[in-house]
Amino acid sequence: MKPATLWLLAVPNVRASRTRAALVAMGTAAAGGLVLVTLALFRVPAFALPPRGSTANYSISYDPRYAGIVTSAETRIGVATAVLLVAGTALVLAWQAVSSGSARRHRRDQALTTTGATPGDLRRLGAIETAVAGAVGGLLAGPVYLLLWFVLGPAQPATSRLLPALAPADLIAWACLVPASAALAAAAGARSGTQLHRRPLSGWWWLALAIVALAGMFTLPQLGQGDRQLQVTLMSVAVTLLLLVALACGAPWARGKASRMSRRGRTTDLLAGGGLRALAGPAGRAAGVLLGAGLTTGVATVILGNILRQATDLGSGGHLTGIVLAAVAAGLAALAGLATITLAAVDDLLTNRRGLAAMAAIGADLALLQALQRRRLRAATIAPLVSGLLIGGLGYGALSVAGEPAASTDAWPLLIVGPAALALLLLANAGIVRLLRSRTREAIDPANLRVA
Amino acid sequence: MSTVQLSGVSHAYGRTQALSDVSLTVEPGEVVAVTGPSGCGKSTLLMLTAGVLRTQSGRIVVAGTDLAGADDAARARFRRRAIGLVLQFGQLVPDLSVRDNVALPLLLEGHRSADARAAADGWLDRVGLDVEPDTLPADLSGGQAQLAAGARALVAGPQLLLADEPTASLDTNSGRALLDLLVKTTVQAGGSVVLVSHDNAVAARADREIRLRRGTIAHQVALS
Ligand SMILES: Nc1ncnc2c1ncn2[C@@H]1O[C@H](COP(=O)(O)OP(=O)(O)OP(=O)(O)O)[C@@H](O)[C@H]1O
Ligand SMILES: [Mg+2]
Repeated sequence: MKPATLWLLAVPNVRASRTRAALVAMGTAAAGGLVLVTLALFRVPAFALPPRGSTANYSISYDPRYAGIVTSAETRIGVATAVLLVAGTALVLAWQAVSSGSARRHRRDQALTTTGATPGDLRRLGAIETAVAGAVGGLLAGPVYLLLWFVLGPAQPATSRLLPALAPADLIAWACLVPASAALAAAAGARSGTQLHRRPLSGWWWLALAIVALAGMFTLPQLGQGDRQLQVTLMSVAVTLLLLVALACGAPWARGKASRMSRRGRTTDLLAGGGLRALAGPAGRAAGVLLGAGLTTGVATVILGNILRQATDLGSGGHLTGIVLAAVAAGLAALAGLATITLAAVDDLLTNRRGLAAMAAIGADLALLQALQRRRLRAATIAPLVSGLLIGGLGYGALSVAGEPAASTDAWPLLIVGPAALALLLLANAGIVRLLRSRTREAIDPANLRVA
Repeated sequence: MSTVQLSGVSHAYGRTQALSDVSLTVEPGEVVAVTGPSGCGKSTLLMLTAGVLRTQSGRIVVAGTDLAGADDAARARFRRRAIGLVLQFGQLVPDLSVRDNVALPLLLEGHRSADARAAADGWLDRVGLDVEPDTLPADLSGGQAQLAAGARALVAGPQLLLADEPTASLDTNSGRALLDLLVKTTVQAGGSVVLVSHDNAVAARADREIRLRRGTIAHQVALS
């Protein structure tokens, strides 16, 4: 197919799915801005802490211009990892946007295939449709970075600053980011244009993988005992791996949960199970992200308990910055996860109108359909968040990490933070159902029964 | 008391007047065929009777329920309780297995899922749909989906069975068999049947034929 033809075919679809393009751009912009933040973090002059047990003066690693967690070479790696992980969740959201509207694109692709388009043509078409959005996202990453810089850079007091002054290096990084995010978005678009028929791994494999990653998260840092930099690096690697595994395990987990629900006796479970199966991919990704958010919150909460216990500890100022950052990161990640599943639910309401209208015609009213949506959301989000909180909090409490032994009593703030997080999640779920209300009403309009 | 009572019913979609001033009754145990050219308002009439569409003007009383005065939720409950519905297009819920699709009316009525599924299996068998009950609708042929839709319309033992082109994608024999099952089951239980069809063979199965033309009743004939 000639480029001109591809362009001709791509334009109407880009127009029809402006929301998709906007969301892809927004997701990449957020992720890009955070990548720029990470790069800038490494421009902060850093010191290595004296080895544990040495009597060297702490003040060597003290820089009055920045927060302690970014001037110490060790913790900086942890901060950078955390920022990159949040960037990752923004990308998860962008990926969901890329795959939204896939039913319509699939129909178009089939029509094109029957008229002679090759799989390569379809991939190129998919790539064009998202590349533009990716480039726009890359461009917007600059302003996003500036915005973050205004929050994190000139903060008062200086010892809470996380970013160095703006520099030409930021500009160069931004210039490189634009083509990179366009290319990434194009690759994602091309991939969403191909129908992949991979045999999914069995649930047991995923379970094993998850256990190994989890064990790794708690044991890897022990290997670096004595060398704090190695320890934090290993910890970062372990956490990243764990989250990747959680994201990958999400879909099979959601599918398994859906079939367990379908087998259950209660009607709402049974009917919501079908809906969860249809959304297994995005629901699983959201679950993975929420697990990560829960883990982070759990660990941060126990550290907070630790600090509160030794209220006189001089280092607690720096730790508090870290805890606030962790809480913000966890909140943002949870939001991105919920946005992902909302996006998927909207997409599902659009593509699935006929089925929903048929269900309504048989006698399901709006209230019932909303109850099913609520049930599906809860099934996908509550268990991951709660297990994340428990694994993170109790796991961290049980094992002494980073050489600072946590007392068993440090877990008590979990009793406050846990229920609060759960309440927020339930509130968010109710909000999502409310948000979907008008679209659900449109979906069950009898007019949708007319189309074949 | 008549199962269906329509008096002076009109319905418009925007500026398209689909039905104007239609009055008719259907008695318990009666089988009525609604026929007429494409776009004459057959599906509209059926959807109004089922309470899927809201009454715009006129009076519709079905199985003792006045539909004009009922809100969305009340009409949904009415459909669960009294109506068996076979729709012209897209009858099955894609997320649910064939078995659960057939069990749906019972599930919505609050029956235990094990019972509902057992009943669904029985009806799948009776309509002659020979597939794994866990199959998803996407994996059925058009005719198989129509058989499943027929089973679903019968599963709750409706007082009024409404079927829009119930045999359009079936071969002659399967079509006749399904039609027989729909009619006999309902009538034997004292219910009424309204069939919409282009097909003369379907109309021939009825006690009475109502012919629509451009949204009005052109004529009614009693068939032997
Ligand atoms: N949701 C709708 N929006 C707009 N117009 C509609 C809608 N539904 C039906 N119509 C119009 O109302 C008229 C009657 O439609 P209806 O579907 O009742 O016809 P029908 O007799 O069932 O036709 P067919 O035999 O093709 O199924 C047609 O002119 C149709 O275009
Ligand atoms: Mg029709």
